[in-house]
Amino acid sequence: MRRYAAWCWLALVLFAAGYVGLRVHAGLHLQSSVLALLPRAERDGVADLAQQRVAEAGARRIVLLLGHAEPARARAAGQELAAALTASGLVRGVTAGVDQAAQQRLGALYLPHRAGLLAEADRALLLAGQGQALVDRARAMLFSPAGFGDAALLARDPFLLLPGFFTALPLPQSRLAAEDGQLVVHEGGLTWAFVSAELAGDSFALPVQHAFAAFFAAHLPADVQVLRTGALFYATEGARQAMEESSTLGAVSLAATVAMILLVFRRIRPILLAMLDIGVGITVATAFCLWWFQELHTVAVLFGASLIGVAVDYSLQYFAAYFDPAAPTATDRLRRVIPGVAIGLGTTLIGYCTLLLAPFPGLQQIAAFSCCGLIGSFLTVWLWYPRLDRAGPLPHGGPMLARLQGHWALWQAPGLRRWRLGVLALLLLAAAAGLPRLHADDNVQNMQGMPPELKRQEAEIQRLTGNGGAAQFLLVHGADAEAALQAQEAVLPRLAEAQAHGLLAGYQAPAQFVASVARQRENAALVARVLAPLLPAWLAEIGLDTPPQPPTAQPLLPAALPADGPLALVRALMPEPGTHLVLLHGVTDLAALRAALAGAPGVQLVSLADDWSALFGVYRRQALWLLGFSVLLMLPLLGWRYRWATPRVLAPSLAAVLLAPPIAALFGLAFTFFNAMALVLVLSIGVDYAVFCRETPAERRGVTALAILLAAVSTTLSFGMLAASQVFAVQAFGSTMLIGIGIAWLLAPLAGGRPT
Amino acid sequence: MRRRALLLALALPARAMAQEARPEVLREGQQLRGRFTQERRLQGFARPLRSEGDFLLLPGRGLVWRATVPFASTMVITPAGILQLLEGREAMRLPASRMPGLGQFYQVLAGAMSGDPSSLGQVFATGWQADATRWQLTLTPRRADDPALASIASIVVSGARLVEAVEVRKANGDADLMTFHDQRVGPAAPDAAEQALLTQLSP
Repeated sequence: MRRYAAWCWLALVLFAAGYVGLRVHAGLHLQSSVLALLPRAERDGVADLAQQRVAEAGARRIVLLLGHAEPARARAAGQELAAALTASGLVRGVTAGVDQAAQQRLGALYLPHRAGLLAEADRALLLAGQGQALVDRARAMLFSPAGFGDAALLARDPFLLLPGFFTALPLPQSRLAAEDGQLVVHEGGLTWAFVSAELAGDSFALPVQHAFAAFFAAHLPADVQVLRTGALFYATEGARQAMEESSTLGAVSLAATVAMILLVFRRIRPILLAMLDIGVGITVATAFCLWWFQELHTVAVLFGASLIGVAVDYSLQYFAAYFDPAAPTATDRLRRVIPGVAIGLGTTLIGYCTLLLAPFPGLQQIAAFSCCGLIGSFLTVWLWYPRLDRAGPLPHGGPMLARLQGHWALWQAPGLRRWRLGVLALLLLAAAAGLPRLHADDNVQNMQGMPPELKRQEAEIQRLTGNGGAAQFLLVHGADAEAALQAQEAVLPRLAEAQAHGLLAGYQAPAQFVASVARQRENAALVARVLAPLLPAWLAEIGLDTPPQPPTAQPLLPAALPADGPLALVRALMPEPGTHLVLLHGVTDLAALRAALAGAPGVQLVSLADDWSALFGVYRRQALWLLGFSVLLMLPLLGWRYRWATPRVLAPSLAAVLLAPPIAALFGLAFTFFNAMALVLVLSIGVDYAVFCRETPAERRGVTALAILLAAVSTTLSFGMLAASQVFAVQAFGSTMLIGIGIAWLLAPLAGGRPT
Repeated sequence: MRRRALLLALALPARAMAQEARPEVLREGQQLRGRFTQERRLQGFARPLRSEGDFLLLPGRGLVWRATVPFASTMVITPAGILQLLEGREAMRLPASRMPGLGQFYQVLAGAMSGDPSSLGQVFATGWQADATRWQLTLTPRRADDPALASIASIVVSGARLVEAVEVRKANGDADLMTFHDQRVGPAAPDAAEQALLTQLSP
């Protein structure tokens, strides 16, 4: 039966390996945004749809600035890059100059509806009855050396209101000027050429990232300075960092584990077996995640690399039994360790399963990865080790085991009472000292771990082009498009005032591009009332002979706006007829802005970063509830096995969970959602150690002490590595693991041994 | 004043240079002040639109164009765009990014007025005529499809020592004629008001 199961397991593992190979060959999809770890349930509804539109539009865009002291060289570099990008087929659209055709289409779009189109400032003048000011401006424009206006334009638009409307349109790229067909900005003796493109592929797909890396390596001239920004570059850097870290951290962790096993066992066999065990665990876990989730999150990969530390625990239990003279064969050894390992696996799976219960896609991946990996490792130990291992007991363990008895003695020898009280007092003292410094940090910007160099370039591009990324926006709801536009028109004066007070740098609202039908009618009536009486005198003054061509009364509707060209963004700001977005740029005082907009009907101020941060706070607290919940879930299993000793078995890990956060605070580390999740693992791994100890009869204590020491060292090695990660979330996780596992190991013998 | 043969870039016949009149070239750090008369002859209008006033050109920085007749208005033109003031109040602001032809317009006007049309050689085909006292430069867009210049048929710049007239002929038959007089070249010395205007429009 076991023999049959072993062959089945081999077939399954080979199948999994083949599947992973196939997927890697086809190109992996690595997700690296920390936000992907958050629950999809929170990204539902209209807000989500709207946010997604904005995010999608943004995620495909890349912006480059090419700088050179010679304006002509910078312009040429920009034009060459734009041409190469277009020719590469990697992008759908390139913007480097002003698209004349698109500008003309814009003019053609608005011209027939000019009757109802007024710049906000012109409207204010007309409302104040100052029609003459607009006549004066039209005269100044007509007489200006720039040569504004000809008979054709003046016949259609005698007061030149449409140019005023165009000028007031909050189109992006405000600091850029077109020179020789190329958008540039001059500063500090440098000319920067602007090139922006919309990706044809997905920023997070590795093949796309590789294709762009190769493209830029080949097409960016060496003599120009390059600034770049876009999700593509962040994703490329994130994936590179994660792969680099997971390979470095994984390699160091593996090397240290191998060295430790060699040192202790002085045999090569445990290494081969452990590597087989780990390899099977990771292969099975990767295959399952790729199949189930279709993508891998980089954080899951990182945790996956660290899984080595946990998966090897079961092997270590088995290897430690080499030093047990009473277990001469592989089957004997297995029989001795399997109850502890099985119960350990049970409690650990319970720990990971609470992660599965949490509605976090990323954490579900981590949980699924870990569960599959651990089950795979367990099955490998259980089914294959007796078949692969023909070695007898090792003779050299005596002195080592004798010394390790000390770990037990510390907690059980009557003579060492003073010592153990001392250790406990020291731990409590450290926790008490750290308690006042314990504070929560949910700021998503601290967790994203953005590469500082890319952030600098992004800020530089935003400064040079005058184009801020919009992290805040207004969500405007109405029964239909008309209602949504009217709601914006009601709130726009408040925004203008907030802008005048410096609360924000600018904003873009669909209503600025297409006014509500009501507003357009109002505007037309206003022009007819205030300006029409001035028309005959004005035409006589300038001597226009061409007969006026009055516009149609047909209002412009949102659906008429083109989905491409300069107004593509505006269409993206209207995801649903009754749901519009107003982008807010350069918000300096969110609280004051919120107050200024309070009570505006149908308008909701959304600040992505703040909302994400609030969400991290909510889930940090939920993670703590999960922690309590997983203790409850473990109780039936532990109670069934240990009856009244259950509190003793739980005590070491509970102590670790309670003491680790304040002790970490002692080092100035904040308590985040990720630290809370780490505690869930500290609990389940800590329970493992206590269970191993509890399952140990007096004569095998040295063996178990060795096994949990090796386990704790290997786990600490791998998670200690995580504490060195540059990904904040991973680092927070690692530091809590480091401290928590240390305490859980130290206190594990408190669980006591099996009575002989 | 130092004279430079920058017009070599415009394929000036070398042997003619000794005798022919050449424009004095203004450099950055200098200024040109003077008075202007502008006449816009527009098709479909009963009469030309005439205006007069004074101007200040600071090469590389911008042009301040102050009309006094038939009404007072101030216009500032820099590579970054156009700013128009009526009675000291901002009446219109046009960033160059909004009107692609604007940057080019400034280059043409400032290049012609400062006697340094060398920067225009890329965009315009140039024709040069000169005798001992006067010179005339004709600029025609090289690319008929250049949208920023689509409306311009030709630009004729003429003068003696300094530029005295610029005529912009449009494709639709319109023409703008600017004539300059009382010009004075000197070290750049904008007054506080002019300084403030130029700063308002610097990118």
